[in-house]
Amino acid sequence: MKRVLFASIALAFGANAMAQTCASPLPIQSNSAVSGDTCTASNTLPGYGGIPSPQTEIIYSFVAQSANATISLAHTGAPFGATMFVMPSPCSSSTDPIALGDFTTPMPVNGLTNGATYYVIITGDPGGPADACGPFTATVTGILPVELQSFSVD
Amino acid sequence: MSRKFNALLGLGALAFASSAFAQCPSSPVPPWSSQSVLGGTVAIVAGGYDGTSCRMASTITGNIGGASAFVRDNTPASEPRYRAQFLINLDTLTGQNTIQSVKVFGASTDAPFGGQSEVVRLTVVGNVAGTAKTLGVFTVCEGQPSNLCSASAPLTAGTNRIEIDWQKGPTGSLRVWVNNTNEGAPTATLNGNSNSWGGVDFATLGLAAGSAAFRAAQLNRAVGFDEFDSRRQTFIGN
Repeated sequence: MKRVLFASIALAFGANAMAQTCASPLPIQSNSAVSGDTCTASNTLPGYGGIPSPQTEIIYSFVAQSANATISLAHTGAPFGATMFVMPSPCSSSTDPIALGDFTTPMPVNGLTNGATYYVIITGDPGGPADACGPFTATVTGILPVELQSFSVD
Repeated sequence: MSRKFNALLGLGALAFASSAFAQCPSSPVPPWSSQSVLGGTVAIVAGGYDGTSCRMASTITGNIGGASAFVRDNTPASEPRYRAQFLINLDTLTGQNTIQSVKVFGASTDAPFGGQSEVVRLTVVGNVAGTAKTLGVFTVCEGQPSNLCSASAPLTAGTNRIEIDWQKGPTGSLRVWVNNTNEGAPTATLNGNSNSWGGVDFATLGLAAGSAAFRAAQLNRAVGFDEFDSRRQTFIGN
């Protein structure tokens, strides 16, 4: 049983470490926080439309339902110019982001199309050094997808 | 809008008037091969950036996808090495932030590979606060995500001098100088395999591929260009 448990934990951490691309984005939810380290990620998107991005990035996704939130970004280690974007589908190097923020400017997330998938990309400052990376926490205040809190049949 | 020109090694120096007192022409064509002004305008106006008489003003005027305001030079012919330089002044783009991106220069091949035909693409974006501007640099890199490599370089207020040197090959490169005339110390260098692409067949200068955020915020603001020069071999410098 212990072996099974340890194996499950290892798989879970392994999946998180790998799931940082457009094809396998990580989830991000309403009124929650996510943490990561872009130094452990890859540079799978060399740009976002006309924005250069030689820095590594971590990609989250959500399906919008009445999205009305703000995402705040904080360095949890040495500051590296953490920057974030919201990109509509498709997640690709040729898609222009529609919202942005950084460690000093929270990012508003609203006006989205219900049912559409959006991507939150956390990376280094596109105008900064190509090797800039570090740990961060992104805190969502408000609604991204509408979450089912409870359901009962009387 | 005059330009020094090495006739032996040069590809094209696209000048309009060599005299500081000359009248500006009514159209950029010729000497440019053509212009694209879908939802935009390109005009030759008085006031060059290097003591000359005229410059090009490129303006996106319509908030429509694909809006463009650029000129095209068809002088290159499958060039395996391509150098170009131009001056650009972006001071009218006030408050431009990072998602307000716009292309300002491209060098393309008629023999694309991996979905990419633009072997060099230069863009301009702002910072998050909209208080500083950055040159986005893209070039083809086989085997990299999207077959692209990217870099950035800071721009200054006022007029910026931008020069590129693209070399095709298995160990190809793109070097970029921004307000920098030291050939041995480029501002940015990207190395990658570009051997599967053809050489440069045409170049474009002006505004294109503006993001929706750019079009929403920067309509009817003219960006100035001047002193375009392109060559095969020699550094252009100052």
